[in-house]
Order: sequence, then C-alpha cells, then structure tokens
Amino acid sequence: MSVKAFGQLTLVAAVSTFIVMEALSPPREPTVDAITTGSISATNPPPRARQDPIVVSQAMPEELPVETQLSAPAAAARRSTDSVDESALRYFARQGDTRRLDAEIARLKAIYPNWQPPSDPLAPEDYSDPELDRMWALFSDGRYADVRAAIADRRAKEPDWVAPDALVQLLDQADARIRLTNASDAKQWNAVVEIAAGTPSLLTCDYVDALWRVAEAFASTARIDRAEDVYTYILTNCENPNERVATVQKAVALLPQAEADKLFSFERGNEFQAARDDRIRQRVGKIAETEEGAADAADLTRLEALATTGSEAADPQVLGWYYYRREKPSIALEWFDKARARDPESAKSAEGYTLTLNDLERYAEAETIGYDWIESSEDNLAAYLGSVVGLLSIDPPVKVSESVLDRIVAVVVKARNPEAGEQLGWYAYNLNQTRTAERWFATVLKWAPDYEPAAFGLATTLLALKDKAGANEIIRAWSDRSERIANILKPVKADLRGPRYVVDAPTYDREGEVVAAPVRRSTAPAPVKSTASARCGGSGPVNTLSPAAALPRGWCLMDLNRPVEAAAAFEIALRSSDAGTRSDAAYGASLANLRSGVTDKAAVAAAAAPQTEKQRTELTVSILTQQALAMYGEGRYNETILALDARNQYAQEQNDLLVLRGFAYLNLRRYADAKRIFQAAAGTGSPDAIRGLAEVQAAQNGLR
Amino acid sequence: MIGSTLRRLLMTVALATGLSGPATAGLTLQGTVSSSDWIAYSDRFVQEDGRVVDDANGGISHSESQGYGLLLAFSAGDRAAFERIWTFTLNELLIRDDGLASWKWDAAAKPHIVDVNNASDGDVLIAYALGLAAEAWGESRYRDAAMSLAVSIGKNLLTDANERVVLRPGAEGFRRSEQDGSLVVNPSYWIFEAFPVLQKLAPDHPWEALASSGAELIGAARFGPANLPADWVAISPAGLAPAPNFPPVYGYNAIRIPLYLLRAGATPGPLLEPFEKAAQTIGPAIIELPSGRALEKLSDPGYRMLDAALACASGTPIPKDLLRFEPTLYYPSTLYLLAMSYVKERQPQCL
Repeated sequence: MSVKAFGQLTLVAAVSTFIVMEALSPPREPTVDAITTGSISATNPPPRARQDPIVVSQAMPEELPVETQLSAPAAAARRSTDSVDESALRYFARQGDTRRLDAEIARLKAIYPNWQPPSDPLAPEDYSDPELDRMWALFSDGRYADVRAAIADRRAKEPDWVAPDALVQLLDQADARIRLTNASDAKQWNAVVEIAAGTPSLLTCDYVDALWRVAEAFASTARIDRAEDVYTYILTNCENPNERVATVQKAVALLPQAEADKLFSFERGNEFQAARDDRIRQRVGKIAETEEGAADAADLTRLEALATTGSEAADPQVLGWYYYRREKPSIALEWFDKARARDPESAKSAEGYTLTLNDLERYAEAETIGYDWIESSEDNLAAYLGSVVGLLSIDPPVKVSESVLDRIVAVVVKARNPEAGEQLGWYAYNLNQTRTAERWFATVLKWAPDYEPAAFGLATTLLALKDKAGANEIIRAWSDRSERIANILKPVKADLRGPRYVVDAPTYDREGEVVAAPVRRSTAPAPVKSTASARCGGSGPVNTLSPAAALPRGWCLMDLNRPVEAAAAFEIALRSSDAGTRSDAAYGASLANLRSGVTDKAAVAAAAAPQTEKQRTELTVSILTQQALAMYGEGRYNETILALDARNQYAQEQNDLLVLRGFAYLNLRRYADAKRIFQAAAGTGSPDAIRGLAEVQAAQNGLR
Repeated sequence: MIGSTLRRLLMTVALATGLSGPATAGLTLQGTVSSSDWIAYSDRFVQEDGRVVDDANGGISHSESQGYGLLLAFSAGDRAAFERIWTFTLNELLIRDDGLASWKWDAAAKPHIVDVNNASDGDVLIAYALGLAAEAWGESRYRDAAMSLAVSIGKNLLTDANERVVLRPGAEGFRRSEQDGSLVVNPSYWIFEAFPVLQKLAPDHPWEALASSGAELIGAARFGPANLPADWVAISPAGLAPAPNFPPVYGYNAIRIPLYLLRAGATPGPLLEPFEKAAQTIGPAIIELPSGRALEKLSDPGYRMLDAALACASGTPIPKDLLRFEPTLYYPSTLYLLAMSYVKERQPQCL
C-alpha cells in the first residue's frame, strides 16, 4: 500500500469509489506531552497486528489496482511538504490547546506523510496578521459561522486574499462533521458515506462518533463488510476505553452475529464483558422469539445469572419467553413472575404470564390477570381470549361467577372472537342451556360466516332442540365443506370440542327421532373417589359439613364430575341462612341433578332458593323439557303431558315437543287429542307430525 | 439565452393572452436591497449561525426561508451574511441522499430536521442564489454547490404532465394519481427569474420548457369568479382544477405569483390582469376561489407592497407609507424586500 496513515483512517476518493486504507500502524505519531516547553516526544505504542487495508466503496467493485485507486488526495499525499500550512498548528501551540494541536499534527501527517512536525511550534513566525489571528480565535471558540463570515468579509475587501489552507480545511472538517451527523440522524446513509469520503480527515480516533455513523451507514445499506472494517479500525487503533466498549456494543446491534463476534477478538483484558452480555441477551432473545432451536447452555446460565442478580425486567422476560416457547411453563412462569415484580407496567410480561398460566391450565387465574391487560395490545387480548377458551372448555364445566361471565361475554362480543364465542356456546350447551347455546353459535356465525365449528355447534344445538328444519338448513349449507356436519345425523361418535372432549352424539332413527339421548363423557379417566374427596377438602362424610363449607365442596365435586355427591353437598348448603349461598346452592343443585339425570330433583332445587329471573326461567324450561323427554322414554305418558303443560307456562312449545305431546296422546289412546296436535304440527310441514297423523289413522282403523 | 427565451415565452403568452409591451432582461439584483433595510431584516430574522427564522410558524426554519435569506443577502451585497446563511443551509438542510434540501427544521426538535422531504421552491431559491453569488463573487465553492443542486433539481423534480415539463412540489409524495393520472403542482414554485441561472448551472435539463409550461400554467389556471390560480393545482388530461385535498384558495402560496412574474419581466396585460383586478377590487387577501370572495384580508405592509408593485407596473407610484421598510413577520417582510428590489431595479420612477 502506498498510502500510509499513522493511527489514522485515510479515505481516498476515486471517481465513484471510496477507498479507506489503513496501513501498518506503528510507529505512531508523536504526541506533544509538554506543550509549555515546546518539546515533542514520541511514545512507544503497543505492537499491533498488521491490518489489511479497508476498502470502502459505494458500488462495491472488486479491488482495483492500487494505482487506479489513487486519485487527487493520493497525489496530495505525494505532494512536497514545503507547502504545508502550519499556521493552525502554531496557533494552537500558542494557545496551549494540546488537544487541537495533536489533532492538527495527525491531520497534517495524514495529508503529507513525509511531513515532520516542527520541533518548536512556538517559534516566532515571520508574519503578523491580527485579522487572521482573530479568525483563529473564533475558530478555537467553535464559532465557525463567524469565521466563515470574517473570511467572506475580508475577501470582499481584499479580493486577492485567500484564507490559509489549514483554516479552510479545518472549517470544512468541522462543517462536514456537523453535516455528517445531521445526515446520519436523518438516515440519509448515502449522504453520510459521501460526506465522509469527501472529508477523510474526519475519520480518525478523534471523531469516533463520525466513524460509528459511517459504520452505521454501511450497515444500513447492506455493506456489512465495510461496516465491519470501520469497527475493526477503531478497535485496532483507538484507545478511549468507553469508546471501545461502545464500538463493540454498536457492532453487536448492527452487524450479523458472526461479524459482530469477530470483533471480540480485539478485546484487551476484560473490557467487553458488558458487551458480551448484550450479545448473549441478543442471542437468547432471538432464539426465544420462536420455538425453533435451543440456546447455548453457557449463554443460558449466564443470562439466568444476570436475570437473577439484575434489577431490570428485560432479562427475566426473555427467559420467560424462552421457556414458555419450549413447553416448560413452570419455569417460564417463575421468570415472568420476576419480570412482573420488577416492572409491573409491562404489558409484554403480563402477556407472557397469562399465556403461561394458560399452558398450565390455570385458566381462572389467567383470566383474572389477563383481564387487566386486554386494552394494552392485540397480543394481550389474544392471550386473554385464550384463557377464556380454556376456562370455558374445562370438562366438566366449572362454575364461573356471574360477574366473570359478564365480563367475558363483554370482551368476547367486543372482540367478535369466534373461538371464544364458540366456547361460550358449548359452555351453555353443556349446562343444558341449549337455547343460549344456539344463540351463541348463531352469533359467532354472523361474526365469521366460514367458521365451521360454530356451524357444527349450531347444528348440534338445533338437533338437541329438535329443530330439524333448522338443522337441515345448516347441514345443507355445510355438507360439502364439513364432513362431520354432513354426517351429523348418522349414528357415529362426533368429536365436539377437539381431542380433549368427547360427547356421544345423539343417536337418531331413520326419521331423525332421538332414540338415545346423548350422554357426555370425558376422555379423561374418572378420578378415583377417595382422591376426588381428598381434592375437595377431605374424605369425611358430606353431611358433617357446615352449609358454608358445603357450597365450595359442591362446586369442587362438580368440577370432578361427581354430580350425585355434589347434589348432596348443595342440599346441605341450601340450609344456609345466607341468601346468596342459598341461591348459589340451588343453582348448583339444579345443575348437579340435571347432570346426574335426576330431573325432578333439579326442578325442586331450582325452586328451593332465589335465583335471578333469567337463570330461573332458563333452568326451569330446561328441567321440564328434560323431564318430559325422560318420562316419555320411560313410557310414563301422563307425566310427559304434565311436564309439557308445566313447561308451556314458561316457554312456547316448539314443533318437536308438540310432536312428542302428540305421540304421548297416541300412546294414551287419546286419538282425538293426538290427531288435533299432529294436524296443527303437520300444518307447518313437520314430517314427524304427518307420520303421527298416519299412525293415528292406522290406530283408529285397528291396524296398529 | 434562456433570458431571451423567457422573454420570448412571455411575449408568446402575451400575444396569446393579449399582453402588450416587451419583457425585459434578467435582474442584476446586487444593491437592490438597501443595507439599512437588510440590516433591519437580518437583525430580526437571521441568527448568528445563519438560520433564517420564520417567526410566524413557531420559529422554525425551512429551505424556503434559507433560500430567500440567501437571495436577499446577495441583493444587499452582504457576503458575510450570505456565507453564514449558506453554511447553515449546507450543514443543516443539504443532507439528503439525492442532494436536495430537507425542507423543515425545528430548533425545538431533536434531531432538528422534522421532515426530511424537500420543498422544490426552496431548492430552486437556494441554487439560484448560489449561482448568482458564484458568478458575482467568483466563489468556486458556491458554484460547485449550485451546480450539484441544480442537477439534482433537474434529475429529481422535473417531470412531464400533459406533455409539458413541470416541477414536482417535492421528491417524495405528489405522485401521479392512479385514478385519473393527475399531478398536483404548486404554480408559485415557478420562480421564473431563477431558470436562466439554473440553465447555466445544469444545461442538460429542460429549464426553458419548464419556464414555458409555468407561464402557460399560470395563464390557464384561473378558477372561479376572480379568475385566479389556486395554491395547489391538479393537472390532468381533462385539464386544470384546484387540487383535491387542498383548500381551493388563492392563498399564501399563490400571492407570490405576480411578484415572480414581475421580477421575471412581465408587463401589464392579460397574464397579470386577474392579479391586478383582484388587487384593485379586493385588495391583499386570501381569496376563496369558488366564491371569489376574501376569506381573510391581509393588512401587513408586505402584502400591500405586492399590490403596490403590480400597480407600479402600470405607472402608479408606491404609496408613501410603504416606502419605509419596517420588519413585521418573516414572510410578508421577505415579500416586501423582494417587491421593493423589483421596483428599484425595474420601476425606479414609482419611488
């Protein structure tokens, strides 16, 4: 390399190619250490490895022969040193401005490699120019605009006067530095590189900030190797410890991992520990963003140590995500917990915490915590809806308090979230609130007309409501898109809610009449009784409990799908003097009895304590419907009629129940009544009613 | 060269529109702003560091204020002030990759550039003033900067609309509409006096055609009962219309148009007529084009001076109370000095 710079980066501009060259470092420039005596001594620098030349180019051409790389500035480098303008140097020496004097010597040596600094910069000069001295004074004060104005004024007065090269160059350098900073702040990366290329004297250890900005400009315009060159230059040549650390940190932030890691080889002592930790944070953080791969064990150990001893939330949060995405929710929860303790305002930590609780199937806690953050971000809302889906799909259904249900409903409706809406449908369905379930599924289909699970839910619910016409409509609309909807009338097991929950589909005869009522069962093994009792607060007999203690026991047993025992617990709770407990207990007893199929007891329980009007009506209608069906199934046709009559006081009798009533009359040989009912129902096109009419006819004709 | 072309062009437009009287050659400018006026102006609006402050807009600066500052400093022959203003302009605004000036600078913001985009009239003013200064003062630094800025304007801002060369208001945005192919322009960005200078600086770009299209545009963009151009005009194959998404007004932008025409040598006739008529019947005002009524009367002497310069072109002396300059706000004060500079150079008999 023919251009040598001493401890300095020289940027050589060719036509469209900028070449940054850094030659053998030592010997370094002499430093002035005793300005007052005017003596200059050279310090011995530590030996350094030879650096390959740094080639910086706009267009990234292959390396050109050296001779063609060199253009005007290189010619300047070969220029005679006779014309070196030392006026700046002498001015700074007189002022005792060591820093500027050093910088000026470095600058001149970069331009004139053969130039030697004067042995006595304080020697009297052979001219006197007070106006120029004033310009230098303004320059020293950093009043660049004033210097420029003074030069312009003087040139207006003395057209032949020219400002000294050194002053002009230093002004240009000062302006270029400002301009480079502004261009970099405005992310005008090509302008940054262009300004740097035009002002090579700016690219020295004196202006590391300018070097950083040039490196960032390269990194931001896909010239990673050029950026790496600049960082390498700084770490090889510049001494300021803070700037060295900052250099590595910036490189870590901007360069790809491999290139950034290379720079750590320039470490002196342990100076880059903090940067190395940042690197670890970055590495683990990147892995933690996805489920792919695993972090280096040493990285994890170090980050866990940092996360434990530090006071920031960021490290534990990264670890939370890392373990959450590696299906280690218990560990993840601890880290998110720590992150939340350190920064309770972090929505991201709250999101991670909620998601992790979901993974741990601690849905009720997740719902409670997640609810506070639903407004924070889409992600927080999604995590909360995940908790809702989980909470509502617990099998058997857990009791959700009315206030929680209310807020869930409000959020789900506002978010128009199909999955959560669907779960509200199944939750209602599984509590035999079939009408409510039907409304949910229908609503979800309005939000998301292509959401098959809602269509399946609606079809299932309509069949349960014996609304065959409605169900057939769904089947027609979906049969080509959904096999399970197409086959819903076939006597096969249908998977209602994914792999965890299995409901035996109702079995229908060829006319579509239910011949066997659906029985829900869980795929989970039924808990062993003693375990169940233990989990619900002891194995002691239920009847020794106080009413207050019996209520949670009842709900707990419901959770374990032991409705008979739950009903017993609720009956004890019904004795409570507290109206709220009684109401709750009555509701629980009704559900328990419904679930165990003891429908008449459910009716009793429903009447036993005050419930909300809505609750009571829905429950009563549901109980009477079940009763009517159960009575008919047992051949108790009179009771069927009575149940249906009772039900009529709360809700209109739809076609399917009318038909049931018709068949009850038929079986009681009350042909006139049966005929009247079937005729009414047949008027709406019910095939069952038409079949019923035919049967009445046949019976009357003695053919049956 | 282009001076004569513009003259010819204005003549052509004059013929087409019934304009009478010859247009004259380019301005000399130097000395047309008195040093006392300039000192009063620069004491108020130009900071030590060369920043020209728009005090009516929260004290921000922009490429336009820097460009006007350069032009006025040149007209006042103040080389030191020119140097200051130029240094600020170069360091703070000319930082774009494409070599144009970012338009908006706010002392209160960090970084100070609050919108990196350019505003084409600012670029034209800066290149124009630099070109003048390079020529008059023999500064090669000014010439180099003027040439590269002029080339950048030519390369990035000139485009075609209805087979004419037009000036895009900015390098980003202002794209041709995908619906009707229309292009929004600002007629007040045609600073006609600058184009002969830009022609010398960047001879490979069609400045003459640009001048020609500008005169045609101003002659044709006449909207509403007042027959005035809108601040922003949409050019589409169907014709000209006040630009959608902008208020349909003859506003703070467009009020400069007659001044620029006068400074470029236009004389009374159909091209100036609607401006003269508005000056006589409404006076200085922001005019709502659909109704032709004044939305806001402008009482600042700077705006009144615009009308006075128009009247002066027809022989009416400048009113006595307008002869003395007192800085008010940045924009009208600037327009005042530009108008007074015109009167001094071309119509001294009005004084």
